[in-house]
Amino acid sequence: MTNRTLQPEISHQYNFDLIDPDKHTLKNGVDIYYIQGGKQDVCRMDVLYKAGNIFESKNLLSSITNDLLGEGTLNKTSLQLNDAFDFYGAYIQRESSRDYAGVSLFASDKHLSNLMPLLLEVLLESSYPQHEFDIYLKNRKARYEDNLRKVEFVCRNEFTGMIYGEHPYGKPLRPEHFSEITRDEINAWYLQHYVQQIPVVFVTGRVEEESKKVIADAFAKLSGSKIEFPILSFINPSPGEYMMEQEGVIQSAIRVGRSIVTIEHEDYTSLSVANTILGGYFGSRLMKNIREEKGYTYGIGSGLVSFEKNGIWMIAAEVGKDVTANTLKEIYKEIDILSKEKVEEDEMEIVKNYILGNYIKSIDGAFNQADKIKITTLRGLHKDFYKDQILKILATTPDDVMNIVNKYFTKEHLVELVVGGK
Amino acid sequence: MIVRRVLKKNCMVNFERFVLENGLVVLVHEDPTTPMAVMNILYDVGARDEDESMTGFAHLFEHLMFEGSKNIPNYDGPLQKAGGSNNAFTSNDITNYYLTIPAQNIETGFWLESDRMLELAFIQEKLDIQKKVVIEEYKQRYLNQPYGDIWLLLRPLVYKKHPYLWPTIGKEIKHIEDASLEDVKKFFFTHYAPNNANLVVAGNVTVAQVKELAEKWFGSIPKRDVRKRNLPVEPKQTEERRMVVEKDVPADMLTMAFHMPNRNHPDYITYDLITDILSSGNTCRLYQALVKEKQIFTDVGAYVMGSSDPGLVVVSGKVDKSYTIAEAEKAVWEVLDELKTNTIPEAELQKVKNKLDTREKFSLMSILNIAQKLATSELLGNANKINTELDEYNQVSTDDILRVSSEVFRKENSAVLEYYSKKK
Repeated sequence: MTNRTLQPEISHQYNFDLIDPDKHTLKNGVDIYYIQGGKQDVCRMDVLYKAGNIFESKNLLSSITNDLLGEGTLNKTSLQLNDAFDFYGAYIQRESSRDYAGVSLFASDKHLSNLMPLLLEVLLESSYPQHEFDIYLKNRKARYEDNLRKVEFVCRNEFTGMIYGEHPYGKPLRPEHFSEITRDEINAWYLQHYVQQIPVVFVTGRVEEESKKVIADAFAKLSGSKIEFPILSFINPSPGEYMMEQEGVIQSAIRVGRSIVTIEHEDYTSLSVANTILGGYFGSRLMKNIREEKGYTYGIGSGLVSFEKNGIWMIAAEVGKDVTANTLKEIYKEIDILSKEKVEEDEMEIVKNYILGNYIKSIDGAFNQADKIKITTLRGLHKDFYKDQILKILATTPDDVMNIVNKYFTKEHLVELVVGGK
Repeated sequence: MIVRRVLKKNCMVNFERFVLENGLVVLVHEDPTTPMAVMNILYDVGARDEDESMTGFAHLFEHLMFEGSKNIPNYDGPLQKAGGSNNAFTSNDITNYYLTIPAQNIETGFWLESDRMLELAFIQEKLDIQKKVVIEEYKQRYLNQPYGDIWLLLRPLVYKKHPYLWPTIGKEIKHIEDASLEDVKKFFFTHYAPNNANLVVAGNVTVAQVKELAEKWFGSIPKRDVRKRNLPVEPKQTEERRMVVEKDVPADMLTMAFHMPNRNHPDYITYDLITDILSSGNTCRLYQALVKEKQIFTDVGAYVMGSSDPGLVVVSGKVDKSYTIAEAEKAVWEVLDELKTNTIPEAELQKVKNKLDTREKFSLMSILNIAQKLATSELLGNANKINTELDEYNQVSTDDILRVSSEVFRKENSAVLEYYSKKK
């Protein structure tokens, strides 16, 4: 008879290594990294520029410029250019974030010789026609107005503002930003951050040798320079409890958190462990207490985010209005317990194994590995950075967790925002 | 001419299928290049199998599947200890559970999944808490979002008899509140059974290993008397239906739903391609005509519901403040009528097929996607559909698009929801 009460044997022998990307540096300074792998004859080409929010003097500059890349070029309308990509079953995705912005091309390797000229057109010859800008802005504003009715969006928008003040990482989006932005500002931003800058390129998937030549020839046509991230000061946020009443809502959105060190910092691995225990996975203390014991919410979690120059740690949930106050009380109670009582070995083991398993999953295959390699490359980290982090995480002790909670998660450092009511 | 791709050999997904004596179908996809393994269990039960007075039950039940089984008090802890993670979803047709785990620990997956197929713990207190959690989920997704109640309104407008008339979350919160432990037990023993499920294991495993583990852990679970599905057939709609609501939302929204055949119907893929022509990417017809040229919508899209019983084609979008819903609807009809009147250019059809091919290739690089696609293909009667379906897409002609568009886009086959923004 099979004994169903005992867990089968488990082991944690893993290979932590990342693929060594094949780096080509062109004469003009463009670095192209090839991450070979994948079972299908397709590749993804990420072209990344330092063109994120951190450079913004005004909200929306980075994201609008990025979203409208290729929506009209010197020689083609938006429709003609998009049709040209479609012709080869290829598509591009535009993405902008706090630090970087860029374009990803998804395509079959065999069509790259036809697609590269189109991609260059996007990167060098976008023309930002006024009517494309107007339509985009109108629809983006409609989406924004929609979002203002969602407590979760309002809370996210305002919370980062409270953490970062006027720093471009955090400036909340306001209705007037839509009327303050012009097509000419977008075009100027494009010239400065795309045309005159050389990007970093990551090509992931199956790429034949001859395609590499096609890719190199195309990027050799760029002629910008490299730029640095600005050094801007961060204000000291005012910790405390904030509340924005929203009429007619039945749930509140809650955020509790602070600005925090980034992944390079020596405290980061202990922080990761402490965060996971508190709210970083399904079996976390917050989930157990607030969802699985009290039924106050569909989900509650906490997380760490690292931007180039700073990071955020926060807890987020949407909960019934009537249980908002209780939820907050329980959140602080769980933090308090972590700051005073050592975590038991069994829980440490679960959390470490969970992080480990998650890491192995996150480096499964070329496309997942590429996401990690992008981070180590762009941040200038050693190629074994993640492996070292994992080894440090495995060596974290209950004392380390308690110390880190007392150093970072204490209430006097935290911003609490409730949108809705309590 | 557009580049024509013939997609074959290199796309083939290998798999093996066998059936245990108790009726459990097992599918294995071997991929020695990954360190991971995925386990997917699809139970052939969804919201359509619920009683009309106890809706939302299949989904509530999904929550209870994580609250301890006969021999294992806690599902998540041991899985996390083995480095795994998991989730599940419920639809109107199925309830699907999946986990990802380092391949060497796959037996923990077999242990956990087989025990909850064997029997749940059935604890009153856990049921009470999960009811609360589901009610919060109901609020978060359906009530506390602008337009969140669209499907609560639309389903009973398009379905009059078939149980698709209620959403998986349930018709009303009260149904969730009323669920009793007796109901839970009954539901389990009439729907959760080896002979009402399929198990897919994909990743760094071998067929021999999976055979042995499946036999060891699932082999002794008894076959059960599964409730026979006997659902009312939705009568043919013969005249246009319309519902008008006014709520506190920022903009007017138009939603139009049209009846279409089920997922297994030979025309299903044609429907799917029609919605791609209408709605996939920036060059699609709805976006070009209604957002870019006429600027009547700020956002518009179309999609099919690939449901096991006859489903829906849905066109919906937010209307620009300078236009009325009536004008917006008229503009949508112009786009739909065009599809019914003129054969679309060969190149346009080839374009959406090519794009679908690229998307599919990226999707099939994930073992989880492969496992779920095998599971749903098996449910539809043939797991090998994962390898043959792209060929079927390739065979759809511009004439098929014309024929099917004419069948579906008719006023008497439509249900229209006019969702107005309350003027302040």
